[in-house]
This record gives sequence, C-alpha cells and structure tokens, in this order.
Amino acid sequence: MAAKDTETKKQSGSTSSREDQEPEAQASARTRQKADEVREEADALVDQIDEILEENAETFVKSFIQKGGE
Amino acid sequence: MTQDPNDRIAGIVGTEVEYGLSWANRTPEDPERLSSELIGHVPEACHAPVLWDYENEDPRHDARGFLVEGERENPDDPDNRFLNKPLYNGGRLYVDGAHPEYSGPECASVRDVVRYEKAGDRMVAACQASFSGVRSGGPPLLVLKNNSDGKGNSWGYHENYLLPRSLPFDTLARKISSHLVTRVLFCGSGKLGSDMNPSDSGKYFLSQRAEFFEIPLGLSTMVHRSVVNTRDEPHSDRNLYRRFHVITGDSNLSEISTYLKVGTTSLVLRSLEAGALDPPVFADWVEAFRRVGSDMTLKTPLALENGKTMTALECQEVLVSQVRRFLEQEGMNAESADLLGRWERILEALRSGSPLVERSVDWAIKWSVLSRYREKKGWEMTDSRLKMLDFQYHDLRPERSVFQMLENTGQVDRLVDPMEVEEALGRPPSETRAYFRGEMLRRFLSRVHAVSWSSVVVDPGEGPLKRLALGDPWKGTQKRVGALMGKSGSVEELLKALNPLPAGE
Repeated sequence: MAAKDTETKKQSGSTSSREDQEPEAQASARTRQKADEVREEADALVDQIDEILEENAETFVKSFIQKGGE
Repeated sequence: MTQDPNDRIAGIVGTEVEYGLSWANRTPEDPERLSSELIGHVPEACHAPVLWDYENEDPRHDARGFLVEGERENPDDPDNRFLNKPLYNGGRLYVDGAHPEYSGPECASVRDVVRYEKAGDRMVAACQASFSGVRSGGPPLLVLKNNSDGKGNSWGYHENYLLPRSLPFDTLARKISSHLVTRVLFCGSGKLGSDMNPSDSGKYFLSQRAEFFEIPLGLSTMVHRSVVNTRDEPHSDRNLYRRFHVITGDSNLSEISTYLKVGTTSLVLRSLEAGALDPPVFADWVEAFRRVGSDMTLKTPLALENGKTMTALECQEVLVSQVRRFLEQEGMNAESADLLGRWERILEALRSGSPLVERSVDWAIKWSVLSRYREKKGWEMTDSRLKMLDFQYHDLRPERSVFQMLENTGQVDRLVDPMEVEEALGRPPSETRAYFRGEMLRRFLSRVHAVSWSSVVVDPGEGPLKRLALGDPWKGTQKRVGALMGKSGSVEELLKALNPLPAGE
C-alpha cells in the first residue's frame, strides 16, 4: 500500500532527526519499546482471530457459491 | 424539493442490503427457500404482519425514457407474506431472488441512514440466531454482509437518492460518474482474490463490486452491470421526483465508511443539482472503476475525457474542493459540515498513510488484519484460511464476526451509539413519510391491510379497502402528522383528519 510506504518513510525521517539530539542508546531503547508494542499487538490480534476463525475454512470457501442477486 | 437548503443535506436517502448465505459445509440447494425461512425468524417486535402492496411497483422504466419488456411482480397472499416482512421501523425485510434483503426506511439525515442500516444487520443477525437455535445440531448457517463469493457471483448493495425530476438524467449521469468510480477509496470493503481472474487469487482488491461492472449506463442490476444505473421507478410523484438508484457500492461494516459513502454522494448530488459541480470526467468509466477497485498503491493514473490523466485521490480532492466552495456559499447544517470535514480528513489520511484509514475504512481495516495475521502465520496469500478470514469479517454472527471483534476491542472507530441502533429496530425515522408508514403499523396494525414505499392500504371498516397515497416522501413526517395520529383514537377519525394528507414542510 502506498499509504504504508509513506508512513514508514515519515517515521524513519523523524527517528533520524531525534537521533541528532539524543544519545543513541536512548533512541534505540525507544525503537525497541515501539517494536515490542507492535509485536504484542500483533500477537493479541492473532489470538483473537484464532479464537473465532472457522476450522473448516477450505470446505466453506469452496462451497460458498451464491446466485447473483439484485 | 421544498426543503430549506440550510436545513439538511441533499434529499432523502435509503439503502438496500442483500446478504450472502451458506451452510458452513455445503452450498444451499434452494437459496430462495432458505432465505424465506431465515426471514421468517424476524423478531415480532420488528415485523408488522401485513401484506406488501405491489400495486405501484414497476422496475421496468428506464430513465432514458423507455419501458423494457418483463413481467411485473405480484405474488398471491400466502407467497406475499412468505417473501415480505414489512417493518415497524418503516423498512422492509424480504427475499430478492436468492438472497435475504433489508431495505431501510427513507431517511433525511445520513446518520439515520447509518443507524437504520445497522438495525437491519442486527435484525438479520437475530433471524440467523433464532433459525440456528431451532435447527441446532445441523451445520451452522453463515450470513455474510458482503457482495461477492470469490467465484464470479455478486449481489448488491444499493443506495437511493431522491432528486428533482427537473435535473436532466444525462447531466446527472455524466457528472456523478467520477464520484461513483473514485469514492471506493474510502468505502470499498475490500476482498482477497479476484472473482474473474484465477491468476489474481492472492491479490487484494479495494472494491468487492468493481470487477463486475461492464457498461457505463444501463438498467439491469444482475447482468451487464452499469456504473450509472438507469432504473426509473421513483416510488413517488413521477412528475416531481427521481429516485437515483446507485448500484456500484459495496456493503460496509464500518459505520464511518457507510457514512462517507452515502454522505459524500449526497453532498455531490446536492452540488450537482444546484449546477455548482464541474467534475473531471473519465474517458472510460468502467475501466476507471475497475482500476480504482484493484489499486492498492492509490497511484494509478486514470485517463480523462480531455486527454489528461488523474489519480482517484486527485479526482476526490477536486470533488471535495468544489463541494466545499458550494456549501460555503449556500450555508451548511451541522451534518454537512461534519461530513465535509471527515471527507477532507480521510483524503488527507489516505494521502499521508495515517492510521486513521486503518480504523475507519473497511478495505484498509480488513487488509491490516489480513496482512498482520498472515505475517504471523507465514501462510501464502492464497491460503483458504485467509479467504475465510475475509468472509468472516462480514459474518453477522456476533461471536464469529471479525469486524465485531475489532469493534468490541476498540480497534475501529464508530459513529452511532448502540442504543440509537436499538431504537431504530422498532421505530421509524421522524423526518420522512417512513414515519407515517411505520406509525400506522405501530398504532393501527389491525386495520392496515398492506404497505409499500408509496402507499398504506387501510381497511376503513365499511366498503372497499382504501389506498392512502404517499406520493411525496417529504410528507407524513412526525412534525406534520405526529400530533394528529396521537389524537386519533381510531382509523376512522384519522382518515377524516387526514383528508387530504397535510403538505410537506
């Protein structure tokens, strides 16, 4: 997604400007903390989806055939 | 229209939602029957057991001025009851071909459109739960609020906008086309895999519907779908009004996407009606729609009639600036101002990649979930478990719906309070003729024989049934008839007082 690319660039841009002003160790701790948060969020999401996703996905995906409507 | 332009946006709007349905382990053999059985479980608190009045229904008129061949529908009474569930909220739950369909009541605010559509989803979910309760032990029935099965079949989501007949149809078609093609950016509901091209089975699309469109203008909604639909069945006074029937939209789960889809279209139509819109027009509407619907980069240049090119986002930015200029001159009510602000913010968010998009636009919410889940699992994009996740985003079962899970855990933005939706299950909106229809059913049920969009057929006690015409969607509002209906102790008193129906505001 183009939108994503832009966001990534933006974030890395602001990180480098911070690095000019604060010690490197502090900046990398901050990056680590952010990465941990993202990972925890992703783990939580996977658990949430695992709980509700139908087990017979292949059967449903194959047999879900609709007549056109409207 | 006789409305004060500062009073509310555009005219009257209503939406129609068709739902997909299937057993968890097999294709239904008789989906028409299954749809009827499903809607037979509509909660008593929602459904008024009267007939649907087919007298004024005729979908064969084309806005370009001709009548196509075909049969008018008019089922006998038992079939009528089997296929139709008129609703106390002024809407209609029914069977349309092989699908259950909910048509919300006519609304005069976009926020109402959102909450009545949401009420419809809740009603159909209640049908699903009750149906499954009766048939416990069998395979679960899945009811999905989506628009394609991944195998080349699509069913609809339609919007209806009341417009003055005086607006020439060819002007309307030409000037609205670019918005219908590019609004996908904030109201596509996304899908994994092409319906038409097996080699694109792992590709993600912004629009569920765009692939199915073949021609720029046309009457049919089931084959040779057109970007601008020409159905001319106003369900109101044909000399004054037009019901503009939009068939390009996806069904949305996100309240924000629904609000933007209907709200921006209303604002564009209002500007267009006033002659204040001069939009870019694409050289090939169908090609442009399909490209926008499959372009995750948001950067594809689209050919314009004038030989230049423009991206969908650039086109939207032109549209929103023209609408802003018009509204600033005309004045705007709180809802129009809110819509305009949200419209500008979502375009800015799409351009900059702001997280707002992944909290409010269906295709982006779903993509964010799908891509994060896939990354963790390490699966191929073509894995059927990911397509299942796509389908379950649209699942109406509260305990199995991915969207509902995201909503419950605060991962997506909402617009309306769940209590407002609850109220919309059993009461009509107050600012259109839906009020009169719904309140007649609520107050005088035993004397109402049938209803339709443009009529209420009552049993006057003596003599033949009496058809009250609701030819003006702005008449029959709470403001005009609420007190009268409250005072009338009987249908006879009401009929006497309502002769003729009081004029609209």
